[in-house]
Amino acid sequence: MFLQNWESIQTIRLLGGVETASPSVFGGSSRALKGHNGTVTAGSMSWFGAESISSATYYCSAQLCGLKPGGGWTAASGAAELASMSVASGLGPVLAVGGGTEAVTPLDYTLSDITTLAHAGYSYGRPYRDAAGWWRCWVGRTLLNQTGSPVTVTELGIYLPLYCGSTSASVSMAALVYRELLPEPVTLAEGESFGFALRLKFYGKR
Amino acid sequence: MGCMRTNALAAAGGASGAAGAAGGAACLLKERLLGCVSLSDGALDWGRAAAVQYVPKTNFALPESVAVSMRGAPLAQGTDYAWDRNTGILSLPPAVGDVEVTVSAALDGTYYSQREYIQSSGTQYIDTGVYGSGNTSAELVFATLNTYPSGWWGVIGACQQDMIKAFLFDVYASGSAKCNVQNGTSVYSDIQYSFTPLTPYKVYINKTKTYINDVLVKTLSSYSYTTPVTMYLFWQNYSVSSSMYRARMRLYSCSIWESSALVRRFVPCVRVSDGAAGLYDEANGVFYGNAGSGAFDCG
Repeated sequence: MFLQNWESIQTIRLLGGVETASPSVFGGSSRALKGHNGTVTAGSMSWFGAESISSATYYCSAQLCGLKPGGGWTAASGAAELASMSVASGLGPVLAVGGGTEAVTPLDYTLSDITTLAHAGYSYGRPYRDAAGWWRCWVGRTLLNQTGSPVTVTELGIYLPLYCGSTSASVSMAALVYRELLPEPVTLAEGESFGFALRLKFYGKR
Repeated sequence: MGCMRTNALAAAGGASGAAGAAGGAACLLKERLLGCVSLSDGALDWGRAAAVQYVPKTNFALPESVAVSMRGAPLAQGTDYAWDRNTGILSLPPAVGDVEVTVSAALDGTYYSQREYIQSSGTQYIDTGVYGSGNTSAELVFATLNTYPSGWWGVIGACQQDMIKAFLFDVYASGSAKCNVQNGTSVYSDIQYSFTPLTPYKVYINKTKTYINDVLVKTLSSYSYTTPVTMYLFWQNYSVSSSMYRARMRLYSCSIWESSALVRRFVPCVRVSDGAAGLYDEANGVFYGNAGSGAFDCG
């Protein structure tokens, strides 16, 4: 589920999904990036798997559990718009909507993006860790229909801005890391706003 | 929002289970709360009934009824949702869109008895303890009276001296013609507006923008400043000398934010121990009494 291929910079190769680097990635000497070895099921969060293919110092950053859009990401909608933007480090996920109805697969790299709805606001739940060690949070986005016609949303997704770099090069990209069909389509009437949200949970080492 | 990087990102799903096979879709829970806090995390699993608990703050009691709407349509208590004021548990139907909940707890009467408004006669005022600045926002509901000062009188404000480092909303005489807003030094403007006596008006000063009854009536330029003294209600606090009349008005509510942080949320009340009318700050649990002479009336 990616919009751009990390191989273009010949530094880090993504393998089906991506796993974020260790928490001490900034400044740590060992990257310990892992290849994808998980099973991606419909409606589940894709793994992040990446491996270093160079001896140089590489790093990547992303925040999935949290909502920290910035710059043009704040109001962007759709893969094309996101992929055209410059991504700085430390940004968060962008919740997007689409009109697709195909079953979710690990190979999904974009939604059938709906780009006509206006961004009205982000919201999020503060991440917390439950007794079993799972990090939990939710992210939400309110969209407004000002198209003059009803708009039907059938799928949700999360595009994650990823920033990867080394001592000599860097690249930014948008990756579709999650896609889900809504339990039922939502039709927004003209002038109607609707808050879309996704709950997320992760297992992470301290 | 703190950054979190994970070593292993695994399956997403509902915090308490997800709706259907799809998993984590959720709806926003938008809450308007007074005198209580929510134990919700702010979202509801899509398509699942849910229970949300509300806990009253100290000195407050939960209300007999709460208001709930889903996707803009009001729901009926007892039919569409259930509310137990004793436990504070609100049982909601399956969410299929934004859910809006309003829970307005009231002072329980043990130490403070809530009132609809407090009313001044031109000698009272309240020191909010908050300095005004270019990042200050305030929302208040007030009404003019049939008797009024002969010139400008302050509703809320502070300054160094006239129009210098000033945060102010004031009204001229009866309020039948104009009011005024100030936000900085020489940043001010009269607003042509007519207030009908004894009719509540909501004034919302969101930094540079001023709204009356939700209608934008004035936009001032931004200005970096801090008032040298704290803001008064029913008057304007001056650090040099005062030329502003004290208000003759009713105050129904007042909230003050610094940037986006709520710093005061005043509720009209009477202190049971001595019968003094004043404002109870719901945000901090503190009573603010009359700092002037005489006594507030209340209704």
